[in-house]
Amino acid sequence: MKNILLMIVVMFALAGYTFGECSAADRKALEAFDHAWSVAGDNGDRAALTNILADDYVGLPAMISKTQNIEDAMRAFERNKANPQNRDQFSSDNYMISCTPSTATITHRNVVTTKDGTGGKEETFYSRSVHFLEKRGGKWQAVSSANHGLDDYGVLMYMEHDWNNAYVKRDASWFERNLAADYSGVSSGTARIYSKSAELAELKADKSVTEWAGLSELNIRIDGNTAIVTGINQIKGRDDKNQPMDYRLRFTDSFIKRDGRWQVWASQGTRIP
Amino acid sequence: MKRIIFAMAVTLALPALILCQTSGKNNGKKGSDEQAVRQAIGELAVALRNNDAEALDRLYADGYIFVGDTGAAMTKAERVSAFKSGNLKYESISHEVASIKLFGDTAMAIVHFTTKVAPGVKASDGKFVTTATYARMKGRWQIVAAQSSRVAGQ
Repeated sequence: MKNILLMIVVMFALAGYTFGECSAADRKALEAFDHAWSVAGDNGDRAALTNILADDYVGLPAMISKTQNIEDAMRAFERNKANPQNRDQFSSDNYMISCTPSTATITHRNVVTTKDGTGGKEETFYSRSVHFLEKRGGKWQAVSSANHGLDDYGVLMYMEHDWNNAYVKRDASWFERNLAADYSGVSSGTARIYSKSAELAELKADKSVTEWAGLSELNIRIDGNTAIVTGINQIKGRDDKNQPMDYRLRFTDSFIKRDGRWQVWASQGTRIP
Repeated sequence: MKRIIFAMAVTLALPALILCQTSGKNNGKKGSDEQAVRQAIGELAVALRNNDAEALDRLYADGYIFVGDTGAAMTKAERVSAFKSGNLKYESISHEVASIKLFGDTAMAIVHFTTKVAPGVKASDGKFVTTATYARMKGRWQIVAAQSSRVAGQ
């Protein structure tokens, strides 16, 4: 799975290099196309879906035709309309887009949270979609789409990146949701031990500004419902005295899969001189 | 479209869900597991104090990774080799277990260590906080990862 993810990343990096014609504006327009596709499905907009999907559209791996895809979307819309409180929450992120004047590839992660998961509990699933588009008659149309679920390695890799993004944005809700109730963290600066509530309080009280955080040397080991992720995290920004900061931390994160989802159980970082 | 994505994700996730563990419900078992992990930590401290590379080789899991207070990562082989060669040698080590948490066959312990290295060894003395992850393998608790940070000002 890690190899597949790596291949996808390399494939799209190479595509961008080779074609080199896909401008930022093109990518923005293609991402908007993808969002419009989701909105059309959400709203049960048959006319919009008819325009978005090419007549010879195929959804993989189930070989779903354009007609079948639209009918499935309409059924989902009617179901959600009849029972809005049980509607799945869906979001897409981590976009990678490449294009030529007449073809485009859009790939993104999907996060689906259903209230009706295993045992009637809320549950979140992750997958990655790859859409192939062609410009026909001057407008983009989807000609095929493939989707695959992320395995545990993929989920944990994205969790580490999401964690960084949440830290940059000081998004306490991410920490609230993803730190296990019995989480323990050890501060990289003082070696003070933090519980989940102390970690959240520290996040809110911290006056430093993180402008960028990047991961490297990620190593993910999974054994059943536990995982250990080691790596290096580089943090750039301004400290609590408004001085520039740029440092690297070697970290060890322990994850457990509890209630059907991975949660951070322990984390410790050490500054690399 | 979203239903297809969801259905595929469910299909892929089901085997993991079926095999999903629950945390220990038997308090007696949990207590004895905690005691066993505490004992394993004690054995580790003794092996470190005695610079006993052979014992460390037995106590460290094969994939063991240790991150020290300089941020450098060491494998099991590198760690054991450092003790065998005398590059790493302690004069004394004391420890105090701050907490042990259990989740199935995994335990996470936070331990305070106070160390004094032997004269001439290129490592520094001090007080450290270590997060150690243990896994029960073939009925025996082995340390699979540990990271150590120096307590500020120590």
